[in-house]
Amino acid sequence: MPMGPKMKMNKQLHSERQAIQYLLGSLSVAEMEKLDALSFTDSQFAGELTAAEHDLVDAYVHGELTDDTLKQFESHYLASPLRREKVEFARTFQLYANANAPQASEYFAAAQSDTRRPAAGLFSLLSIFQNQSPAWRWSFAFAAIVLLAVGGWWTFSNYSGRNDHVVASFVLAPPLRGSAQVPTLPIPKKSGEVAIQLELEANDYPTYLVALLEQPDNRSLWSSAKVSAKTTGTGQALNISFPAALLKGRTYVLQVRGIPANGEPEIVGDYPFKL
Amino acid sequence: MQQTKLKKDWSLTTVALDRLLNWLDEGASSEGQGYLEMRRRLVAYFDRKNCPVPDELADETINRVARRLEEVDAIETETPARFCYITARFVFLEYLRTRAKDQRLRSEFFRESGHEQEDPGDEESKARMLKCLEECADKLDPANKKLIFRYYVGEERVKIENRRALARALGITMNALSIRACRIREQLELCVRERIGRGNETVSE
Repeated sequence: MPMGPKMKMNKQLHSERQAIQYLLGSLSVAEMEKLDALSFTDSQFAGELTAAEHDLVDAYVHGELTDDTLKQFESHYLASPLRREKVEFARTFQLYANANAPQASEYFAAAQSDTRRPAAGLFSLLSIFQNQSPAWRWSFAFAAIVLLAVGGWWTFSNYSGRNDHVVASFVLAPPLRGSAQVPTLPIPKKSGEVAIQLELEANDYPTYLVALLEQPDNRSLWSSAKVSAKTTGTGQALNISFPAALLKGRTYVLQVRGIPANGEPEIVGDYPFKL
Repeated sequence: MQQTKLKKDWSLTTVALDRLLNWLDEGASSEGQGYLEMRRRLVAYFDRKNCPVPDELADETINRVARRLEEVDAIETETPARFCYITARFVFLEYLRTRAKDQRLRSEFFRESGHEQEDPGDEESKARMLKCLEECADKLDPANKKLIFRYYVGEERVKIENRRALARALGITMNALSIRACRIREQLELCVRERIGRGNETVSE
């Protein structure tokens, strides 16, 4: 079960797992009483317990709980009307949070303030619906959630009036290990250029090379010049762009190689995507 | 006997409440926030114990603590938080004993404890909660609103990476970010609950 960020309990090394077990009523009586007392006397623990509870409830709402954890959640946690209310709130909250994701993307936008093109993104389109009826807005919100769930990436399309061609811009998060999900990039047909920001897990090299490989045969379609990582609102990332006309197939990989100060390029990671 | 009667009839007076607030604040003035936080912890404690009326037991605990303060003027052997916990534990044990004697209450409890499946037909209440949430979110400070929806978006690793990135962007630790987001969410949840409650009162009037 995903546990969210690791918690450092004040003075005592309680793990988040233990907090979850406490919330699910699956600790021994002695351990329960110990944490009962801490939930009053240790403000940090009280706060972290609340955070763990939010993550637990969100994981249930997302269908991420499995096996014994799910059984305990349903038999113990949902036994309380107050906690069932929390689950109901979490469902509504997630819906609303996902629908409001474009506002969150302002963190990215701020980091990209050096870009010359004004952003007018797909998610910014949500603002168009702000004056529409709730039904319209939430229908659109559902569509946005589906997009987010598929790839966990952010996308927005830009239009450059000066060059009179469409630039489709995307941000790709580092690929999830073992994940079968490949993000779909909805590149408009009229796009002249595709700009992608590749978020790095770590910036370990002074420069990088990025290659666009068509799948399934790994045919190289394009290679970047040496690029350096830029600091963004979310960490370090590589900004690349290539002609949209190169994309005639369906599935691709952007392969990132790091160039050490001395030595041969080393593969850092593959960022798959499909059209 | 007389003392028992007095305890039973005791109610929280303005003077007793002021004394309780000061004692909970331990010298600093929190303008009632210390009291609210303690009550929140008490409700959460009784709720984790699967008590069907956590609010009532929390208030009973607070009354007992206030009464004790009135009797002794100062409780110096324990910190306020620790003393509240000890009192809550007694209240809980008493509740268990009462429940064991009261078959009617117990059967009600088990009925309450059954896992109620989500009612798919309750779209109206969902829509109302969503509307309340939207209204409450609009009342948030813009920076907090941005933070909360950035913090909770995504699933599994994407969510964790989002949080790391957000903490970096804000220049704070993950732990500090988590606590900040938690408080905002609690604030939202409380606001939604109050609005829904007010709506129910209006309907029943």
